[in-house]
Amino acid sequence: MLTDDELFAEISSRRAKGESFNQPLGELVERWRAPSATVVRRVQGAFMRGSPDDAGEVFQDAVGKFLSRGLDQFRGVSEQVPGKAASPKTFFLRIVKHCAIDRYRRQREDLAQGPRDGEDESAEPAHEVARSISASEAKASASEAHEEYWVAFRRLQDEHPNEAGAWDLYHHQDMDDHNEVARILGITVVNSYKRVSRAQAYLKLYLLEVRSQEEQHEPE
Amino acid sequence: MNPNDNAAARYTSRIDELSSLKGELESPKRPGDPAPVIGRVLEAAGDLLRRTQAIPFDLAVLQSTLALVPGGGLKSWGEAVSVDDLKSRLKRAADEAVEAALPDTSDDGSTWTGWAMQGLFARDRMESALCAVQHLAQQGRKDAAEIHARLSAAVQKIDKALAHRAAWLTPLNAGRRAEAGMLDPEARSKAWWFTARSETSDDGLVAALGGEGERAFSGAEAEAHRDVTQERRRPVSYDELFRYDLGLASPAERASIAAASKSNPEFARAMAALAEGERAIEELSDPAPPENVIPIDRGVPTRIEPGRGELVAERTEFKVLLFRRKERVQLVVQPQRKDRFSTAAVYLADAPEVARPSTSTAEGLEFDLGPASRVQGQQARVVVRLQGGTEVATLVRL
Repeated sequence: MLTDDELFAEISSRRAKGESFNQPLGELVERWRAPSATVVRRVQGAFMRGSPDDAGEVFQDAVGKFLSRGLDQFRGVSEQVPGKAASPKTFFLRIVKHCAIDRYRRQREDLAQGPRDGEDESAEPAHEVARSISASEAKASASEAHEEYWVAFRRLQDEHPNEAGAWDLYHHQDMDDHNEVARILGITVVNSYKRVSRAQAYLKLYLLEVRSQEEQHEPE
Repeated sequence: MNPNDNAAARYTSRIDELSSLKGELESPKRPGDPAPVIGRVLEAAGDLLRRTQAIPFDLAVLQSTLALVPGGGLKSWGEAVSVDDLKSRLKRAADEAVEAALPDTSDDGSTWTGWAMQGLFARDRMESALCAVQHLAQQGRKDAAEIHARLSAAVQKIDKALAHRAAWLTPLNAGRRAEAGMLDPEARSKAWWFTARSETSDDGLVAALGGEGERAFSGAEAEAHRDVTQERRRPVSYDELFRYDLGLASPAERASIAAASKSNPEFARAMAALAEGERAIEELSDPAPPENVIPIDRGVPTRIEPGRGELVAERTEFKVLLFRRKERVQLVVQPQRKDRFSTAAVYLADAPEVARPSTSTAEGLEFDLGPASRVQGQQARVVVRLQGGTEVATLVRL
C-alpha cells in the first residue's frame, strides 16, 4: 500500500499532467476521515457548540476546499513555511479545523443577528403596509451600499494594503487612536494619520467610480 | 517659474527639436529600428499641431518634416505602441495624484505631483502622435489612415474606461490648468486628462475626501462620505485566519486579529478553538516533529536584515531592499509570490521616464542607482507590475 506522501505525489503528478486524480484523492482523504472527526470534536469542545453529526459535513467541506485551493496552497506553504506543512495530512487537518471554526463562527453570527428580513411573517395591519414597503426599500438600499463598501475595501486591500491595514485597525477594529495604530504597525503617528486619510479618500473614490459607472449603464 | 511659463517653454522647444529630427530623417545616422525616432517626430509635430494658438510655428516646415516619415518606420512605430502600458501608466498617475494630495511629508507631495504629471504627459504625447498621424492620413497616406484608425480606437477605449477617474486627478489641477490653457479649443475639448474637473473649486477634493481641509460634500460625494465613515466592524475571514495560522498573515492582518481577539469575546472563543484544534492535530500527527520551524517576522516595516540590506517596502507579492555597497546604491525587488509578481522598474526623479538598468541576481531583480554621493537625499520610485496588470508604485528615500 502506498504511503500518504506517495499517494499525494501521485495526485500531484496526475494533476500536473492534466489527468484525472479523483481515485487517489478519494483514497487519500478517506484515510483522514477518522482524525478529521477528532479535530472537529475538539473544536466543538472549545466552542461549546455543534453535534456529532456535523463531522461528516465539515469533512466534505474540507475536501472541497482541499481540492479547490488546498493542493496549490500546500505547495506554497511548503516553500514558504516548511515546518507548517509537515505532511499533506497535517495540512488537510488544518483545513478541517478552519472549516469547523468557520461553521461555528457563522452559526453564532446568525444567532446574534436574529430573524432576517421576511422571516417574521406575522400579519400586519393594512395601514402599515405602505410604511413597511418604504422601510423595506430603504433596507435594500442600505444593504446594497453595505455590500459596495466591502467590495471597495477588498479593492483597497489589494491595491493599497498599507492603507487598508491602517484603516482596518482604526475604523473596523474600533481602535480610533493613531498612537495605538502606529505602535501596532511599527510606523510613525503621522504615517498612521496619513495612511488612514488616504484609505478614506481611496474608498470614497472607489464608491464614486462604481456608482458613476452604474449610472452610465442604467437604461434610460 | 510658474506652471504656465514652464509649459510654454516646453512646447516652444518642440520647434527646435522638430528641426533637428528633420535632419535625422534626411540622413539617418542611427542604426536599427527607426520607431523611436519616428515616435519623437510624431509627438513633437502633434504637440505643435494641437497648440497652434499658443505656439506660433511654420506649418510648411512641420509638414515637410512629416512628409519624410518613411512607411516602414511608421509601421514599426505603430506596432511598438503599447496601449496596455499607457492604460497602466494612467491608472498609476491617478494613484500618484491621490498620494500627492495626502503625502506623508510635504516633500513627498511635490515628488508625487511630478510623477503623476508624467503619466498625464504620456497620455497627451499619445494624443499628439495620433494627431500627427491623422495629419499624414489627410495628406493621402493610406498607411497612416490605417494606423490612426486602429490606435485611436484602442485609445478611445482607455479613455472610456478611465475618464471617470478625473476626480482622482484634481490634486494636479494647477499643472493641468496650465497644460489645458496651451491647447487649441478643439484639442482641449478632447483632453479630459487635463480638463475634466480642473476647476479651482475641485482643487481640494481628494484631500477633503481623505478627511483633510474644508469642503462641504453634496450629492454622490456626500453619500460616499457617509457610507465610508459609517461605523462598521469587520469579522476576520476564513482566509485571513487560515493565513494567520500558517504564519503567512501580513503585519496588518496579524494586528487586526490581535485587536479582534481583545475586543470581541466571540472571536476570542474562535482563537481558543484554533489552539485546541492545533493540539489535536499535533497529537494525531506522525511522530517526526518539525524541527525547522523558524517564525517569520514580517512585522516591522523598516528594518535592517543582517547582511541583506534595508527592508524599505513589503507586500504579500514582493519586498524591496535597499543596499549601500562599495559607494553604490542598489535597490532589489524580491518576489515573494512568484505567481502574482510580473515585473518591476525603478525610476529616479532626474529621469522620471527612464527605467534604471537592472540585472537578475540570487537576491532578486537588482537596480543600480549610481554612486551614493549622487543619489543621496533623492527619491526613487519603484513600480512593480503584478499579474493581471495592476501596478504598485512605492517611493523610496535614498
